[in-house]
Amino acid sequence: MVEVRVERVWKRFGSVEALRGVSLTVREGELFTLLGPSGCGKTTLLRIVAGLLEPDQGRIFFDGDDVTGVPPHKRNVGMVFQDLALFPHMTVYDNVAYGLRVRRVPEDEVRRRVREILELVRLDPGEFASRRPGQLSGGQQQRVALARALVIEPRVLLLDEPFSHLDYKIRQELMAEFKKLQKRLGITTIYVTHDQTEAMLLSDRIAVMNAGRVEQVGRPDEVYEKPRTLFVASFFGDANILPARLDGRATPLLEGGEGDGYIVVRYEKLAIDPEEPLDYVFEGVVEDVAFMGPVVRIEVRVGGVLLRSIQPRTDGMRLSRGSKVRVGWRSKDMWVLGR
Amino acid sequence: MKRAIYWVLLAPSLVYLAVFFYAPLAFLFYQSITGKAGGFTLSNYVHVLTSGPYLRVTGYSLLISLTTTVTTLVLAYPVSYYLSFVASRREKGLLVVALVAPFWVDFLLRAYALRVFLDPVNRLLPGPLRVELGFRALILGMVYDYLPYMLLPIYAAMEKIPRNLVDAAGTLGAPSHRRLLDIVLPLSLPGVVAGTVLVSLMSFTEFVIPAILGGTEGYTVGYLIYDLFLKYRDYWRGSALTIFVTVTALLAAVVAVRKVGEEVVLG
Amino acid sequence: MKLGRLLLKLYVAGVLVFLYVPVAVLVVYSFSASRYTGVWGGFTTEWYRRLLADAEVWGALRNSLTVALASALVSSLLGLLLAYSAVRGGYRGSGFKVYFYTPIVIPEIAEAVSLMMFFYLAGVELGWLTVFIGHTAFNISYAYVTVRSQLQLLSPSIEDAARVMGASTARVFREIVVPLSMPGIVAALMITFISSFEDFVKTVFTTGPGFETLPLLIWTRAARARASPDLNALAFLMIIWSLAVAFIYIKIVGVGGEKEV
Repeated sequence: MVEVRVERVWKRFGSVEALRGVSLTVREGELFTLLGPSGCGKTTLLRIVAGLLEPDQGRIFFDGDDVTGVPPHKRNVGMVFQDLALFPHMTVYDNVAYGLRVRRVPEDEVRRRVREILELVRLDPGEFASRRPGQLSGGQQQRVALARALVIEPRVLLLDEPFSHLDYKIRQELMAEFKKLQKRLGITTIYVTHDQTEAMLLSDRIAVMNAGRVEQVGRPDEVYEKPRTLFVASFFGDANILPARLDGRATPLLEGGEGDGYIVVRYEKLAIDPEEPLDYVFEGVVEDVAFMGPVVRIEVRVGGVLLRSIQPRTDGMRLSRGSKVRVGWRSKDMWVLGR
Repeated sequence: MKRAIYWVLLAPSLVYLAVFFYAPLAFLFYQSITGKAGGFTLSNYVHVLTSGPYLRVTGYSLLISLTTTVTTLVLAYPVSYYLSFVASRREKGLLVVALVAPFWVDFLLRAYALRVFLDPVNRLLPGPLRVELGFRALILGMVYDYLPYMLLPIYAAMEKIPRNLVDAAGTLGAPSHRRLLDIVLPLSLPGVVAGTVLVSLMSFTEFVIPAILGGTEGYTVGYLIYDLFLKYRDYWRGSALTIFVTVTALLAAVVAVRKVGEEVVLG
Repeated sequence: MKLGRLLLKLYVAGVLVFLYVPVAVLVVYSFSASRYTGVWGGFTTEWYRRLLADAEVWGALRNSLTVALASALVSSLLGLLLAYSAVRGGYRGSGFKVYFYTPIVIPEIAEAVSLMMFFYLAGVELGWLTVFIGHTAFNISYAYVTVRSQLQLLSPSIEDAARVMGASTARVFREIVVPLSMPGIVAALMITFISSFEDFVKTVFTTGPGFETLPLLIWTRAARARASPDLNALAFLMIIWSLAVAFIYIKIVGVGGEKEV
């Protein structure tokens, strides 16, 4: 059980600042996600924790041990790569056994542990051990990669978008399985993704990253309910972001004009034709109604801006394009962000 | 730290080429601007670039190079097209092997085979059509030897053309000759440039083929350099001529790389 | 359309005939009992027997083989190390490229004469060593280009995975990089071997009295006299040998080294 601490890490590639003073702490046994758009520095940070890259400044601690400068093969971490990086010239068995053999584990123990770990990731050793990675399906390769990372009983498990190449169905299945496995083993895990749904589904806590910085750290529900920055509000979950004037009572600027801040309202908090009185109400025209399974997404033009609302399907379906509606929200359902 | 490992791995090759490739070239250059009795002079270059016999040989080599290049291009392009766009998978596999394999056989051997071949052929042909040793046989030999060098880059460039581009042109209503003109031709141009540069440069300094097949008309720049060094022992003019030819070739290669990208030119 | 296709087919067939018929004729005359090419004198294996009894041929063969083997091994090893550090060390600068590509682009004769002058100047006795040095200078670049194209197919995360699992740099190189770039290494060995085995231009300038390779032998005999049947036999054997290597190469590596593991 290991706590990972990242302290003021900077990393530059040529003229690009990939990480600009990142600090965070991953608690023992937690599944911690680095979430952000491509180029935000999340993979760079993961590689620095793995020891594959050295930070220009800053330090990495595993349980208080400074591991900065320790080469990857001495850090004892398990890593699953985006392209999985299975060794194509070795069998499944040899892939999984590799980390143990490098550690000079006796061959009979290797055999026992490989068997155990393959069963743990639900691959039948009898059937799969002697196959090559090229002869496996995407989901099976994924399991091998996970087994290979786990078999060495790493202090920290690192995953770089490991499910991104799988089909939707298999991805859902494997993610659910992986979450249970992680909890059962209680291994400290850092997970990198650009997919907010994945992050919400899996994580104990999330760090939302943007342009080399951590914008916010928190439980998924915290980050969703109380985004601290405009970037988090727009990247994590769907929200209407309206320019606003903030002196006195915050007022959205629906006809354009320069405000000094923003009002942020989640789609599902934007009411259509509300029955009770709300703090903010505007007249608008429906521009589009899109069916999304259990819900519908309604686009309403109010003045110069387009507002989006998510409503349960039964209520939403009454509307059609061109209908005149009232839209509104409560003060407590919005946040106000300064410029 | 990591950089250091790469430098250690690089070092042997770096040093090897410095000592056994670049240093000799530098010395050759030094010699080309030195007189027989020592001292700096440009007279070697002046002589090599202005005296009649040298100019005639250079001009003749250019003619050979040009003829070879054009002929191989005319032969190679349709064959590449057939390989890349018409042939079935099976056919393609066999043909590629058959067309590329001669690439591996040395010029000297192929030129020799051609010379043996011409003997009985000339016996069968009527007088005017005969390919006696001389310019005609020489060109035949050059084409014979250089064809794979033209074929490979063109074929490689054609293979890189996404098939759906050709299909897309088809769905837009382009008949086959338009698909060839509008899609295949422009997109295979880098290969054509690469092949042209390769063949024209190599054939310009060729001397094995002219020596074997050229008869009395086999005196080319390559042969001249060979004679200057190994027969007349005029190392100074030999160096000047070699440096001149080399610089020209490198410049042409640089221009080609700029134009179409190194991957195509250097494979 | 149909006609165009037919004409194209004939054209391709014509080119194939052009490429292979001279070799076929060479074979035929190497079995002809007549001294003169162009005249069929009945079947004989006399010329091949004469070839086998020719000590000069055997000596040249030995020289060609030893130089080519040594050059292929040394240049492929250096080329592998070079390609690995170029690909993984991120050397993409134009200076780097120019430095290692020039030996391929430069006219062979320039390299040959400059080496010859260099050896004169250094006072080195011309022979096996100087021929080997000349071949290897050129082969390093070829091996580099060949291995590099294979290494570029290799995802860097495969090496990272091995390192994270605990393998040292040397171990990653031995157990991951070398096996996975094997097709490229084999290709480099074959290319460098053949290019050295058959080389004429560099050899003729860097060899000394008493050191003869097979291409030199063909050159001197072909220049001294007209084609002769035992020379036909030797040329044919060498061509067959090269073609065989080419076929093996294409079989295992592909035309341009594009076949993956």
